[in-house]
Amino acid sequence: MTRYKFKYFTDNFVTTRRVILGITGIVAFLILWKSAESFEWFRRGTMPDPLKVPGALMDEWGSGRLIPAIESSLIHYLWGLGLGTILGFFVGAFAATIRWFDDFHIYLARLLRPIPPLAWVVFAIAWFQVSHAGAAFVISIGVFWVNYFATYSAVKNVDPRYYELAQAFGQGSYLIRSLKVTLPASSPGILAGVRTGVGQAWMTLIAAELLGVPGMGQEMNSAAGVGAYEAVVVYMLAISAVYALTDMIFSFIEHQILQWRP
Amino acid sequence: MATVVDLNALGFQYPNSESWIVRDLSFSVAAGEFLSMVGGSGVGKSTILRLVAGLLEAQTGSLEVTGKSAEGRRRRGLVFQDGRLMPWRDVAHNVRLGLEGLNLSTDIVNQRIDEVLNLTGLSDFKDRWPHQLSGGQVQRVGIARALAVQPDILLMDEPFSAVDTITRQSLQQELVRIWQASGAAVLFITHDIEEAAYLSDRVIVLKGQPAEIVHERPIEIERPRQRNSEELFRLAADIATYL
Ligand SMILES: Nc1ncnc2c1ncn2[C@@H]1O[C@H](COP(=O)(O)OP(=O)(O)O)[C@@H](O)[C@H]1O
Ligand SMILES: [Mg+2]
Repeated sequence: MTRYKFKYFTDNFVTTRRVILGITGIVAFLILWKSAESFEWFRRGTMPDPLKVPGALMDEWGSGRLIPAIESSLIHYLWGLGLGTILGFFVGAFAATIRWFDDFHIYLARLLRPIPPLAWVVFAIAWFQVSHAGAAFVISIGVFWVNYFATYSAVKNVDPRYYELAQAFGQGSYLIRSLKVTLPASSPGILAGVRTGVGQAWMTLIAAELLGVPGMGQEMNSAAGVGAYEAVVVYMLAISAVYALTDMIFSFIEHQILQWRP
Repeated sequence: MATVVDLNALGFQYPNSESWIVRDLSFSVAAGEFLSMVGGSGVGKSTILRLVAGLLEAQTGSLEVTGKSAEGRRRRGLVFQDGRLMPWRDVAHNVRLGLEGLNLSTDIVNQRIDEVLNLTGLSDFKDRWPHQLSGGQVQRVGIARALAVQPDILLMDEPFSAVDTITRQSLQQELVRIWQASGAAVLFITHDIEEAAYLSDRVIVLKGQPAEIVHERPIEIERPRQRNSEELFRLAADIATYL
């Protein structure tokens, strides 16, 4: 009983300490930022004023730029993420389960995988011009490799004893085995890959949009062009918020699927 | 007497291995019989069980799994030493595994699951995840899963060697009850001779490389058996001399 109470006390203490120190951290950062702006640590006019950020947010919102930019970015994001995830999953899964396909693809994968997604921007522009499709294409490449590799190693690492079990109980065909053993057994690894892709897609998204496809990246670029650095910060915070939201949704879904784990 | 499994001059070697695990092995299991196979570690017990289970194929000789026609059933039910439940399925769905693809109606499937869970004393654990079970419960789910397909023979590879002594003794007792209730034959592998003597109608002793049956001993002690009887000890001690 005493022990329990003590544990309760310490848990409470740990949470309280975290909240207090966490807020202090943010305040300290704001002070540092404000000083950098007031004392002009960088070239005059290039450092946004944190106190003007809320105003800039109202401006961007009011002028009808913020929401369409988020929407446009989300379109690139969802298409790029969806395509990259699905293709990465299937190529990874087939390569890990079909011997000839594994051999067939392995040199090709080693050759293409090190190429950073942004290097494909050149072709994205050549093939799709400056368009939604081009941005989605660039995003999907990074996501593809993340999911390909996560799926490939998760499937390769499935404990072969489960295949023996499936065979002993009449579930030995490729399709049945894939659905009843391979997929569930490798789901934690596959989902970890999907989640990495969810983050990775955001990173490439902004970079791809900096080239001029409508979206948050482009808005940031044009705001910076006219010296509106507070607006740039608004888009940076919007990126952070939307990412936190997607990650939260995904982690909820992941939790539902992986309920069986201890 | 009707048999459920017939091995005739069976020979098996693992691919890319020179040595024969068995070279000329013959024995059969009678319908409803409880047969134990004992032998030292590495002699080939698990391999023989996998051959009988159809997970490995012998190079020479013949292996026949006879028995009644298998509509809606599987002739063999395998129980693993490590339990081997699918961690992503709850207890009921683990038990369901062998019933999938047998063209049984959902009602029949559920009825069979309830039946075997009842028989193995697991009715209250239907919805549990495997990680929420004790070692003994895991083994009982493994037995329920094998029984659900209504096999002519249960194939058990040292199913109780990984649980503590007290649990093992109660599992042995339950196994006898389950075996008698189900009417299936059992081919039971163990390295524990007392366990074999306590459970079986007949014990065969394997030895050598390739493995041969060096001794065969019917156990005619009446059931229910007394675990600590003098007779059982003497029998076990005698069988041990052939190892
Ligand atoms: N997959 C395998 N490939 C090659 N050799 C194996 C394989 N599995 C087991 N063996 C060998 O076959 C022999 C018999 O093994 P096993 O049947 O597991 O023995 P037991 O169950 O009696 O301990 C051992 O020497 C073991 O090393
Ligand atoms: Mg063994």
